[in-house]
Amino acid sequence: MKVQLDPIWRASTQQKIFKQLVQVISRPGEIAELDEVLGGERAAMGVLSTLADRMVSVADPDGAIPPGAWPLLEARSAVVSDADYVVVNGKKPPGRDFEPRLGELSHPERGSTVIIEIDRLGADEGARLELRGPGVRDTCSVCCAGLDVAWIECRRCWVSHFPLGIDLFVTDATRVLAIPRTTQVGTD
Amino acid sequence: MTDVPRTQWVAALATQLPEVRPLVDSLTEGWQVRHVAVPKAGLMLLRMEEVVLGEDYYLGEVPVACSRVEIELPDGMTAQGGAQVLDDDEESAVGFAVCDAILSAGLPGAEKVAALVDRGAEELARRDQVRRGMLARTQVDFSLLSDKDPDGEGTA
Amino acid sequence: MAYVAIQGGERAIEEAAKLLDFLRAEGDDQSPIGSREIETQLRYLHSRVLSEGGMYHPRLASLAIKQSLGDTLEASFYLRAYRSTRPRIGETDTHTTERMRLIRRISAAFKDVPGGQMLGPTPDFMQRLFRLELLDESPEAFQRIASEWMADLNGAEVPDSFPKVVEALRAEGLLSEKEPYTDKPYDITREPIVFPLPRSAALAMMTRAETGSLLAMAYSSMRGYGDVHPTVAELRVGYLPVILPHPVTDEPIEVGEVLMTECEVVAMYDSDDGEKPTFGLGYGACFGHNEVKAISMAILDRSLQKGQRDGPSAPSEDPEFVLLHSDGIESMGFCTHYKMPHYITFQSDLDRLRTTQKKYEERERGARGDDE
Repeated sequence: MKVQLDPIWRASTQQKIFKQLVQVISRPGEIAELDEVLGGERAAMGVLSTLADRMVSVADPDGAIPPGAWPLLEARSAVVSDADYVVVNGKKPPGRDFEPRLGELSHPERGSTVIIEIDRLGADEGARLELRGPGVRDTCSVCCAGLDVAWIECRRCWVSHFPLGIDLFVTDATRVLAIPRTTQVGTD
Repeated sequence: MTDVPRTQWVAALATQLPEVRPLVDSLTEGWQVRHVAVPKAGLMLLRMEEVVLGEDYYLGEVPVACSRVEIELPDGMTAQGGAQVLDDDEESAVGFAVCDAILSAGLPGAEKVAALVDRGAEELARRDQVRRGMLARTQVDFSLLSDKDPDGEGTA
Repeated sequence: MAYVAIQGGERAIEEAAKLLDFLRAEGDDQSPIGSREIETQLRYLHSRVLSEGGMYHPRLASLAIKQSLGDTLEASFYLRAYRSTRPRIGETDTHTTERMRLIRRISAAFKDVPGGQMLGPTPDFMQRLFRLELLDESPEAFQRIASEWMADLNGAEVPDSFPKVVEALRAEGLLSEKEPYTDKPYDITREPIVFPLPRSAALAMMTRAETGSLLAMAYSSMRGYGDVHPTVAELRVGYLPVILPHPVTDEPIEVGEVLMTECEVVAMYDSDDGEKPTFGLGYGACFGHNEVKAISMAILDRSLQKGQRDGPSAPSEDPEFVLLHSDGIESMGFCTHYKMPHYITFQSDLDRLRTTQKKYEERERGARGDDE
């Protein structure tokens, strides 16, 4: 009896994705291509399947997660202000009352991780972000087509009181970029 | 198809483990089976209430495997099943989950699953009978030495 | 003390491991011992390792005993090592022991208890005389034992349920009422041990503690290094059905059962000022059939409660003493590590001793010189 399970839910796939996530969050500005392991799924779902389990909560204000994925994620559904992970559509600006968890001084790790889905990473179109800070040699420039820059402005507030803040994964259909709270982001 | 309640199906089937996989393999031929949740095996904390102060504590960890599956037949009929078992063996949990789906939805072959469940339930009943025997044969009714000897043999 | 890397000895180390296997198999006329034999014929050894390993895995407990050639500390270590590699997938709802399928149930405090007393399997009343015929036990005679016992099991009449003796005491007002429990029990496998510890942490630590250690400390309390003169209110041994929700319907399903031992001891009664005096009770429970452990744990639970209320007046009432010195893996690990090469450390000890001896001799010579 062969029982079907999509690749992103398999441990071997998640290990490969995890290694890439560690790489991109250590080198903000580097873009990882996950095409080979996603099995046709969106990169955002690949990131979520790798990071979420029954011990964490996920907020999905834009309905990005298909209903059938929730039992596979096993994560608790939560509101944005309470969630460990938030998945959002980067093409729209954050809602007026969009306030992700920033952590506490005694527990900065409780700041949430936000996965922002956009059209295209690394092509020569869309908002150009200038990154500098830990893990970036001098400065790094990356284009995010379909990213509403309001996200970057809001992020500036959210990460203004280090160590509190949020960490970002920006994804397109198959690629992922990380912007940890330690990175300074300039827009032009 | 079986008098055994669903709450006891896993316990019953667990006594017939070698039969389970061959049975589900043969019954699901030509069917689509998919994981609704990723099957997992690991440890759970066993939470107990102690009776003296009514406080909870963890007695330790127990190995558990869980599975949730959906079956789709060629004619389009679907059924979901699930199982959790006290053994860190994902394979057996998946087997039990498929049995659960087949039996609860009355899919083709359900009577064979029911028969296996019934055999398992008989095994459990035998086990209970042994335990009742242990208790019955060692029942005591101690009495004080000063009381009359219940066997009527008189005191030493 | 500094740790320095040692090299060499790889071949000797490999051979040492092979030697263990050679000792295990020595002689060409044996058969390898099976897991089932260990679980049934070495029942109490198996239960001890299950309990001290902290994980209810009968198959692996047998393997641990087999691999460690019967060393209980090593065997428990194998189980703890294994459990540290397994994912934590959750916790069960709260289980109570009323649902235990009993094989033994006694009370020393009360002659008549609801449901009655049943000795079950126990050596309590046996004389410790050797059955020398067992030295020459034939497989045929052995295999007849079970079927002979099971002949004519029909009609065994026992009650369906066995209420806890402690609840009967409570109903009579001899015990304090239970407060509703709202905390989360302490997970000693994930949280650091920092004193003062809540009682749930003490119970969790004692339930997987090394049996001899618990026994010695409980005995010290019984013998007067402490104030606990207990009576066993109830001791029960049996199989607890483990209930988890069905993944689809959420209805409770029985996923298996766990052999466990549970004991309550009644100690001197408490009379807190102004409050109605009630009995003080201690509670002990563990995986497997381990009566001495459960009783010892109950005695220590009682003495630790007393120590927490009045301040410890004996080692058995001091939670740091009891809880930090009773885990078999920790204590055995520390003891065992002394065998690891400590050459640099010891070299510096030698040097220090020689220097001190030299100074001593010089002083002695000087003193004698003054006298002359």
